[in-house]
Amino acid sequence: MKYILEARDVYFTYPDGTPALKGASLAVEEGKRVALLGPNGAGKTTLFLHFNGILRPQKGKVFYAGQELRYDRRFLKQLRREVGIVFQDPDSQLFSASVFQEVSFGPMNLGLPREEVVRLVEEAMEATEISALRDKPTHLLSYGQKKRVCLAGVLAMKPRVLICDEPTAGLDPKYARQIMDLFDRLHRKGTTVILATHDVDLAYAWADYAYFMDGGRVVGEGLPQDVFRDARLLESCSLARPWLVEFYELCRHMGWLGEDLLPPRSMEDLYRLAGGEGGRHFFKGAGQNKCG
Amino acid sequence: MACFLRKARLPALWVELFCLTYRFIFVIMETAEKIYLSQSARWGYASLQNSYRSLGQLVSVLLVRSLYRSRALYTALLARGYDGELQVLEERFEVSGKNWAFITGTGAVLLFLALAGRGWPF
Repeated sequence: MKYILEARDVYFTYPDGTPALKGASLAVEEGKRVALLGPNGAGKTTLFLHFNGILRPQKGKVFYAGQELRYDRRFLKQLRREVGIVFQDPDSQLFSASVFQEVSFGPMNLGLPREEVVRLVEEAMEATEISALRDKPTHLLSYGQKKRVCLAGVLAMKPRVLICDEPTAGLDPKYARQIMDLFDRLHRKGTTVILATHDVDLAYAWADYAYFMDGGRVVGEGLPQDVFRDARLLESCSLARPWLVEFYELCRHMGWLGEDLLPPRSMEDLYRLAGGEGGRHFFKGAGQNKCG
Repeated sequence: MACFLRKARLPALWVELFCLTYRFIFVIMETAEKIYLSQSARWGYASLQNSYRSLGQLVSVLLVRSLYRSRALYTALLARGYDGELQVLEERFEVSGKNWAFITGTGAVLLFLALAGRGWPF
């Protein structure tokens, strides 16, 4: 199995004495959609900062594509090109007053020729649907627009791994949907996408694999249809179960669903379930019990 | 603007400082507005005494937040391959005959008006 990013037993304490990571271990397969869930202060962002060499583990090791991270200039430059991070607060990422220049910062750092930079910037702006904003000053953008500009700034570097910290927080449903669609497009092109989020419904429906963090450690991992059913794990991470799973468990508990059916991953799955063999049974059952 | 400063061969550090300052004037103003709003919503400026205290707190919080922001920005820049210089793609401006004609024309008119105001050549 090929891991693109791996953290092995990483410890990190911030200079002010806050222990952020206490032996976090996690391995991400190339080309997967990965969700990282956990409460505030679980160490998600700190772990991300280890993945492109901004923070150095005080104990433990970090690997990129099977190689242990080195912290010399050349290695870091290559690493930061291939592992892109989009931060949660757009105002801490935007430094330029012009959208176009902001997006061009990453590719310019790669030392590419001008024409290549222009092409990458245009492409990234197209993908995030901000082409119309190119000449707008960044301080006049709305929160959602700023967020998309940040994403474009990272996409323009064509990273192999895209890491996003709370990409949909604070976005209206339409743009949240668009961003998730964009992630799916990137995933189809082979990019590994890692999201940190509190949104269990989103992570459950979207991810190929999920990790749970709490107190600086990875406390659970697995396929969404398995881990999201673990109520105790989710509760220990101050999370709730996705509504689809809740609903599925309820149906099973009432005996409306066969034991062999997997929980639905999306509304479409649920409809299919309701229309299929188990579904007919479910509706009949629901009718008899006069509830549900 | 930054393009002009760079063309004028000012040191890169100055130009970068200028750009960052320009950007962060707006960020800090926005932060200050938010703090002010949240203070007023809790009667922070209801009396003179309250106002003094609230304003003091606003300034101190603003300082701390600016420091925090500058650190976060540095981290975010590093993540995008920052290595000591803020390189961005400058828009290219073409030398346009029309613009030159317009600028010299306006300049000439203004010069004429200024001189005419002083009584020359009449």
